[in-house]
Amino acid sequence: MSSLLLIVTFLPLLAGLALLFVPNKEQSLPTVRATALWSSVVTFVLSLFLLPSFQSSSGLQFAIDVPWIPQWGVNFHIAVDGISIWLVLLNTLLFPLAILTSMQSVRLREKMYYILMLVLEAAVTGVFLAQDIVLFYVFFEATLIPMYFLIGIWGGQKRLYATTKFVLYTMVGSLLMLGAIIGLYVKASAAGYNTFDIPTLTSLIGDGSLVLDQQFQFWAFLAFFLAFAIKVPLFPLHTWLPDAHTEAPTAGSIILAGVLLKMGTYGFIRLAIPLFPDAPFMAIGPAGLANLRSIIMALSVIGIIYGALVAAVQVDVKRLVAYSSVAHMGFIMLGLFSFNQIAVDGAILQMVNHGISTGALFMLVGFIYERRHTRLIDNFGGLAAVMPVYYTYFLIIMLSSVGLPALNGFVGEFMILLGSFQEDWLMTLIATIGVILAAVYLLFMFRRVFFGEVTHAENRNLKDLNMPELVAITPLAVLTLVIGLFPTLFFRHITPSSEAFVSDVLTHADDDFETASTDINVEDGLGGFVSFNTNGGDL
Amino acid sequence: MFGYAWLMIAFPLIGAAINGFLGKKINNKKISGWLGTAMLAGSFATALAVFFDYQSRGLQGAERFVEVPGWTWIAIQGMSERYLHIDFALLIDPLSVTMMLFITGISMLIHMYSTEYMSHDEGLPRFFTYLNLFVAMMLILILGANIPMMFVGWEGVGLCSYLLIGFWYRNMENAKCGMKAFITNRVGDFGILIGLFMIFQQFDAYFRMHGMTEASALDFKDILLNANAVLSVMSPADALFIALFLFLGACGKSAQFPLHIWLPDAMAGPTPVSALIHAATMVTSGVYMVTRLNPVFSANETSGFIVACIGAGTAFMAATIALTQNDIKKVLAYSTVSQLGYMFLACGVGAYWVAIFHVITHAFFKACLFLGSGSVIHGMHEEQDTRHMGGLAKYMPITYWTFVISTFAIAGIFPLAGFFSKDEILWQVAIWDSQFKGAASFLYWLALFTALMTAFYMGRVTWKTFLGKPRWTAEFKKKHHHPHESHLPMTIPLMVLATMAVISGAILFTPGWMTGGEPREPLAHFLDVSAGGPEGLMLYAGGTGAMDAQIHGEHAEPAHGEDAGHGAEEAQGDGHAAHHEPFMLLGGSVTSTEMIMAFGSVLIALIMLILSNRRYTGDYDPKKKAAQKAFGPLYAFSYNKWYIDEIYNNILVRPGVWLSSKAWQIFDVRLIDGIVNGVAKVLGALGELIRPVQTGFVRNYMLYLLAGAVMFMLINMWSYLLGGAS
Repeated sequence: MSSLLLIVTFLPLLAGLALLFVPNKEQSLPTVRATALWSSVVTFVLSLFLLPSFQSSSGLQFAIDVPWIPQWGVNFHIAVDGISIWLVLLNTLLFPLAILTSMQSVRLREKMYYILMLVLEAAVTGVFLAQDIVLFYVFFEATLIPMYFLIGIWGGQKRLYATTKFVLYTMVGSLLMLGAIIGLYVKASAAGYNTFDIPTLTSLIGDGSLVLDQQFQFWAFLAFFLAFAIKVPLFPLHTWLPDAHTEAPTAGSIILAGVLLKMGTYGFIRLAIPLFPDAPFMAIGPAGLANLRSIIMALSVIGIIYGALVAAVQVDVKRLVAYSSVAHMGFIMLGLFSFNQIAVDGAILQMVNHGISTGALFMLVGFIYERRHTRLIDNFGGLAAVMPVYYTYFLIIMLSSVGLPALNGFVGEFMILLGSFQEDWLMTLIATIGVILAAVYLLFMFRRVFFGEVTHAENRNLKDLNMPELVAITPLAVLTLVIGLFPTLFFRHITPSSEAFVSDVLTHADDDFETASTDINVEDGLGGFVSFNTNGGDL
Repeated sequence: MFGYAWLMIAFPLIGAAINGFLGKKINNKKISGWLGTAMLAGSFATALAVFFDYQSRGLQGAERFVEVPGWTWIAIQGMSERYLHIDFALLIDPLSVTMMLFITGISMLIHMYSTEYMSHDEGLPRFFTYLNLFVAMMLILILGANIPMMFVGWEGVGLCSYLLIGFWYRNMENAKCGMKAFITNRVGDFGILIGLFMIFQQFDAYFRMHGMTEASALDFKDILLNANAVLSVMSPADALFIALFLFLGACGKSAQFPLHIWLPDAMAGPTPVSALIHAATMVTSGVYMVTRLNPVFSANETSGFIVACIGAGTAFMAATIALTQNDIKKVLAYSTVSQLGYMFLACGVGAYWVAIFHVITHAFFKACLFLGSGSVIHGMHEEQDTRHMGGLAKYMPITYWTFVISTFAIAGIFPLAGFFSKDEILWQVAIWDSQFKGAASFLYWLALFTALMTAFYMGRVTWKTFLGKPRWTAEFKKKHHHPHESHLPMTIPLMVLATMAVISGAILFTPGWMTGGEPREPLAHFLDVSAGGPEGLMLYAGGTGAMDAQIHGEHAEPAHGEDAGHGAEEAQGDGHAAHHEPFMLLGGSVTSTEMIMAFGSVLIALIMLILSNRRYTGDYDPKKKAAQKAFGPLYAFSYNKWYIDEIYNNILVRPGVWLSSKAWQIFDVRLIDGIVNGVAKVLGALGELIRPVQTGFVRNYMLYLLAGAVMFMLINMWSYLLGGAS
């Protein structure tokens, strides 16, 4: 099983490397495409084999742990737990679908394109599996390079601006994170722990064997926070996202929204919070009124409302979906930082859900872009009559994104709000308004694209979805219903892992409470049932 | 026990799937239409079976809530703690049984009607797909065993309504109406969600504290059976807010002020849709929800009073608007809003079973009216403006007579269905015993005045359409000569519904002054445990034998439960036999008061029907604009629907759009990107300084990586040195 993990990670990379040796000729293009597609399909099928032997109660498993740079204590350590397994599966599912849609659209330097896609897939899988900070960082940064080229070469008109912005933003965050990683290593090795191993460090910090001083925790957390919050992206660090999405090729958008953003939220779960568990509860600001956690929750809520409002006034479908991502990722952040078991589980499921529905939305936008070479809402209208199948799929995916019950988006959103309401009713109240707004912007766009008379002559004879397109979109549409009706299948694996995460954080919050140091805000840390009337005033 | 109840939902789902996926392949409208109808017949038969089965079992007390297991839907099971457990399961209880009977029955008739009404429409398979899906969702709404499951149906019917209102989507206006309905409903859903979160917070805390590990805080049965215990430890403000947030949701679905704006616009859909969704079923789900969670609403007299005020106020407002509308369906739509107001008025004064009673009678006569209007529109070839009708009685006798019967029923003429339910609501308002007794008398007069207007506007629309001189357009006369009566698939449902509009009231309830003693109230007795009747109140208080059995897992002795039930009835008094005094006793006994009040309202209704008949027949001519001239600004106020749409547009929609685009331009485009681009420019300039040669960015990036690695190494060596030193 351990070797399976290794294969799942590196098979796409090997396939990509193999493609380097295929001659750059017109005749070899079918081989290139087939290699890309089938290697990613095989990777997906193999990754499915992780599920049957996965033990939901036993934490990290299928581990491979070999020394990599022994003198620094860096190991090549990969393993999977109940949280990352779903993200890995999401990743291995989205790549073949993205590659399949690319085969219809990409006609420029195809070999290079598929190599980059496969490298990207391996890198993202690596991020979700890495159990060593250095390894994590290497994979985390490695995703940037292929994405930079994917947007920069195969993107739209303003692709250079968009891709530069994307890389600049991300780099700022990750350089700071690198600094914090080094700092952590220095602290740890000074205390006699010469290691970058994530589970080791987490448990050392968790049980108090390794004590990091408050000052350091605060700044190191902030550095990690910046790196991950940019990735998510958390308001107000989101402005790279609409540009990157709008300019990226379809497959790029699918992957970006589907899995790359999740690296941010995953980073919080895997690294930022467990490594610096006191940091979110430290009081900051004048008179210690706020703490990082409440600020992050507030930013998430602002992002939910702001993203939705701004999405409503976009004229470009892709940009609209991009802003909707800002709002949706806000829900996930709200759920994570409420540190409530229900909300955290909801947030983790919502990471998968968002990957599916937003990925599918970008795919659908890509389908129409291939036909009309425009994404402006005003250039459409009346498509329901012209492309009924396309209309049906768009409807299902849109409803999943709106959060219609019995579809996947509802389960995640509902649990996030239900859980975070127990911790902070006021924030949740505002966030719930975002549920109304999601219907506003999506339905408004949907109506203008699909209803009314066909106003543009070019749209009159558009072809409905073809077979490869159907093959690409159908699994995602089916998943929206499966997850919506049987989310327990997922929670069975998620909960044991997330429960450990939540209880660790809450233990620290309680400890902070007991030691009663003056700069700790205690109220937020208590996970109990705070009454409607008293809580929430602390923001 | 009732596992087969799932069939009720499965039938229409199967129908929707077949028509949805294969409708085009089948390519036969007759098959598609009758397939959809047959599925509903299956549902109706299942509902009947459940009903008789339920009755024959003689369940008592808490046993009357029967959960039909499905599968575990959303569950968070930790190592030792159960955080959340929501089943995808059904609840068979008197309320859901009552609702499913008339929902499946009326839906079946409307499906049958649609096979003819939509027979010329290319989109017929799509229509039946949505219609079947709608019924499935409606059944999930009323049968769901917990709040989230109800919410599945709640949003599901919203979706189907969106799709059906915008069914003729080529016309952008229809699509807009559909969107308006969905979004207005979403505002209400916000209320449901917050109410749900609060219920979970309170009940979950209680269940944990008392070690009730098997109870689920969102499960209807668990909520009801522990209602008083939890509500009594809750702060009154919390209880009030829960009720008000939930009621916001009810206002959305059931079109109450201030969220009523979508319903009249929903008339853009095909007429059977208006009958099914916007009269008989979906709009009653708010009333259903309030009744389902009635202890929450009764916990606090203030919340009841607010519900009653919104109900009576909406009833009044909608009736004033209905007075001046010319579109036959618009009149009926506002009349629906108004009647729903009556139902909430009943809920507000705690007479939940009466609200459900009115839901049922209203479903029959309003469905009949809508289908009748559809028959008219069909016969007049898509004409909806009553100013261009008149004199149709001669050509469409069945439609005419069923329409008249239903008009009399809604006007509250004795002994038709509407008389019983509406008068009972008025009576319950009159005898409402609470701190708001004084205000209740005002609500009574308001409701009575609304009844007067109801009789007038219903008379107006009926006589204007069917009697008087034909005012058909020249174009219509040239093309079609005269209207025609509809075929049997359309007239049979009309006749069945009209029959029910006559008899359903008297069957379900007969007041005391008619029986000459105790009132006969089978519906109230049936609904008792679900709708806050005497036995229900005991269950919610948790003190009965049945309740103890619930906790200890034993079966209560039936005899004991029965005794307790009787005891409670005697102690508390039957709500109707009225040991409460009405606020204005006219001398004599309570019974005679009730009789006088009933005669009074029937008399008023009759006068109004006659007045409207005099006014809108004979030489009535809308071109004279007599009413406009006589009432001036009042007429305009009513005709423009109190300008509420305009107000919303100007204070919500337009500023919202303006704010959004400004926020985006100022914040994203100028501020943040300004900073980012500025930084980039500065960096770029620095880069130029360092390297005169233009470099690609990737090289920059590699450089950073390298720099990082070097730094990394240096620090690492340093730490090694440190380690060596110490």
